[in-house]
Amino acid sequence: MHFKVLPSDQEEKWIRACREGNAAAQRQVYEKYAPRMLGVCIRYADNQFDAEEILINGFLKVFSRMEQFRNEGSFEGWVRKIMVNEALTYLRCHKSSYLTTDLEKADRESHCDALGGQLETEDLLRVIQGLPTGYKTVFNLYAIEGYSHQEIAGMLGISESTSKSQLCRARALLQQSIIKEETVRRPAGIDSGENQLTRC
Amino acid sequence: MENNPMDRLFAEKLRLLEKTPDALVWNRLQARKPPARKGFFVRYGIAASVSALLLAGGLVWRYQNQENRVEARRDPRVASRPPVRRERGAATGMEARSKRTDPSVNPGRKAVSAVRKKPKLSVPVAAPQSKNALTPEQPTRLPDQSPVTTPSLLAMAEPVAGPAAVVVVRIAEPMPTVSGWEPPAPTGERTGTGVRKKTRAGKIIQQLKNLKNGEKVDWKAVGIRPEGILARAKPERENQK
Repeated sequence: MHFKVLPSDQEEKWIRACREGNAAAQRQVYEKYAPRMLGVCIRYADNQFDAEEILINGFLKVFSRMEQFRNEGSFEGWVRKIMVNEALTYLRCHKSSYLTTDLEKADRESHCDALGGQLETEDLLRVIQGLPTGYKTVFNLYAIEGYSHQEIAGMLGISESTSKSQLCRARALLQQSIIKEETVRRPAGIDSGENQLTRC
Repeated sequence: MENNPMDRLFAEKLRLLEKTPDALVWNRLQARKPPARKGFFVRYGIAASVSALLLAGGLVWRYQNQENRVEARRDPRVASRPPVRRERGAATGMEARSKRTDPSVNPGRKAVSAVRKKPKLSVPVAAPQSKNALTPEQPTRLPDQSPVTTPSLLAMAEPVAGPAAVVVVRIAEPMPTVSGWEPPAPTGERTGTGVRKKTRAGKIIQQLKNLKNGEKVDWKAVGIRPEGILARAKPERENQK
């Protein structure tokens, strides 16, 4: 079943004005969506500066291609998709080891349980930013954005099996990182998280 | 997507993550914006002004042409007067004339000249009006160029090239030329087909015919003095006659 998400009246006005090249309307759109989109960009980038570069390029594309938005979905979803694509383009251009696999770090299967309960968003962001670029990208696309392995394979130019294996290794690395984080925070005398893990 | 707890944990906490960008990010974005709209208007503005100039020039040119035509219709002297451009032209003589008649040199002029000179074809222009028709600057035929074909009548036929060729005959008073040769007074008789020129030789032949038929011979009319005739017929021949 297909639901059509209509933009609000205010948003529709902004979109119309942006199509005419109105700078004030563009500023309004930027003010509204920039924080959320920077949150998307920073998951793919290694640092704040790179994330802002992706954000700038993404918004330039949004403003120049505003005519292509046909009100068939949410405007935010459309902008988000542009940001994700822009992030992938940025990684492709700036990372020579874009999809390298770090087999030594990912030789273990991931075990997960109710981990990360004590971790804040910033901690999780730091954890995810610590992943190798390839793992991080596949994990972001699959776990957070909701793309399928087939779609990811098409977007990154890899096979589906590569996408699946990278996702599994990304999970294992994230689990290790989370355990480390929680061990640091947890008071002494409490069992480490590894003993509570169940196999995924 | 399988319901993995690790995926769920990260999706819940990071999907709606918001981070305020630096205040300078907007300025950086503005600096990178391409000035497409401005270029668009400038380009089209230049094109529009050039088109307007061309249109205005065309209208002015057309208006002036119409004015000249109206003036020529109202004033017959102006009509008989040669076009001003001829007098101003730097080229003289046959060269200028060939330029005017050559459609490849000035194709736009062909139609205008044809329209202006059309009425002159059927009505021979009176001599007093056509006195100004030929000026020293205008192309004239010198007697040494073609003395036989145009002895007395300065008739210049200007064939206009093109599908509707118009022959313009301009008759003018004889003019003194450099060589001092004065052509006889223009005479001619209209026939059904056009003007037949009476040349001096023809007149002489006519007088000879009169002599043969025993009619009165007027040698002075053809510029021959009877006392200056050296050769005479023999008396026997005269007696025979």
